[in-house]
Amino acid sequence: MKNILTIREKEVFNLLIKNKTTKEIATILNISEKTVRNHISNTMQKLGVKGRAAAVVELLKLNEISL
Amino acid sequence: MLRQKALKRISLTTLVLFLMLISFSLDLITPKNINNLEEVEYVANLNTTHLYLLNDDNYLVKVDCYLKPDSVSNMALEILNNLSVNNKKYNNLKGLIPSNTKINKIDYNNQTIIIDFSKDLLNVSKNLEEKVIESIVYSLLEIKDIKNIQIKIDGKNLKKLEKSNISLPDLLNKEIGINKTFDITSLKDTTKVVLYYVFNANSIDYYVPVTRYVNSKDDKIKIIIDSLKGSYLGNTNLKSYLSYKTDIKDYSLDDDILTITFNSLNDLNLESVTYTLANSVFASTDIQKVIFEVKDEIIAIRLNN
Repeated sequence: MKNILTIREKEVFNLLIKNKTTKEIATILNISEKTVRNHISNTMQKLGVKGRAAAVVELLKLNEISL
Repeated sequence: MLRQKALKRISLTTLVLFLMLISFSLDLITPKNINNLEEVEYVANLNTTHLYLLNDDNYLVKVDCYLKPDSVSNMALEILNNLSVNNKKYNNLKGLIPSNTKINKIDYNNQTIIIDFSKDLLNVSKNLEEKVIESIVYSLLEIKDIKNIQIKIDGKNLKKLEKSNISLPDLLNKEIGINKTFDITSLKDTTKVVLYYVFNANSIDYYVPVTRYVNSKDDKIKIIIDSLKGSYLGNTNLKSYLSYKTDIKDYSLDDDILTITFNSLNDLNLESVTYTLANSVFASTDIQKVIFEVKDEIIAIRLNN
């Protein structure tokens, strides 16, 4: 497991922990809301966790995102 | 004639003995005094710094350490020697750097220290990999002239911890956190604070910084006060002397000065309470000074050194 997340997935989660909604993230990254949701579910799958909060905890632990 | 000669001899002998006695006294006393003075000066010149060593519960604990003033690189080397697993100076607390780890090179430039270790550095279990890095980073940052640390392994930047898969930024500083604990249940209002707790071993209190991730809309000062009022951190042996009974009347912020007002000092361990509160505030915010008051009277002031 070398690079856990793609750059886009990291960008999505870095915005999620800044209280941004799916819609806001889609606008900021200039992608559709569906794509944002896909990035989130792909990340959860890679990490083997259920729920966005659990994904955030794992990503903080792995230093993949930061506050 | 003979009597005169005898008297002369006795006088001469007495004089020689007297001179020898004076010379002996000077030899015996003067250098000793100088040595003592040098020793006093030497002790007074020692810098107090801190090491972060592991306790039996796998928390990095802050302990005092004394360093001779020297170049930044030499002081860093001295700290790294003290972080070795061979360091047995501190009861029940251990260094984490494996004994066969070599330092290939050490460079200091523009407030950044670059240390090239041999690969033995990470010859530790998965759950201790990150602790090794935290221990090195937090201990070296106690040297005032160091703001960032770059760790290399046999010439290559350490970007990822192989066993735990934890990513590391190129420049390491306190942003990486220490003794991390996660109390996140949602994505909303995620924030982090550093809390100083107390760990007691053999009747000695040690301070333990903990980076806590939480969901909260409150400001960091309130999160710190509320967290430390919990007395213990979860089910750990880390305690806070700020008991839930402690009555904090108010707190106010003026630029980078925080004033915390207690209603009373009942059951208050002043030294520990002011230390843990102030250092938690310094580590979590840009505040530089904390004033503690009881009924409009200042009882303690803590500065961010």
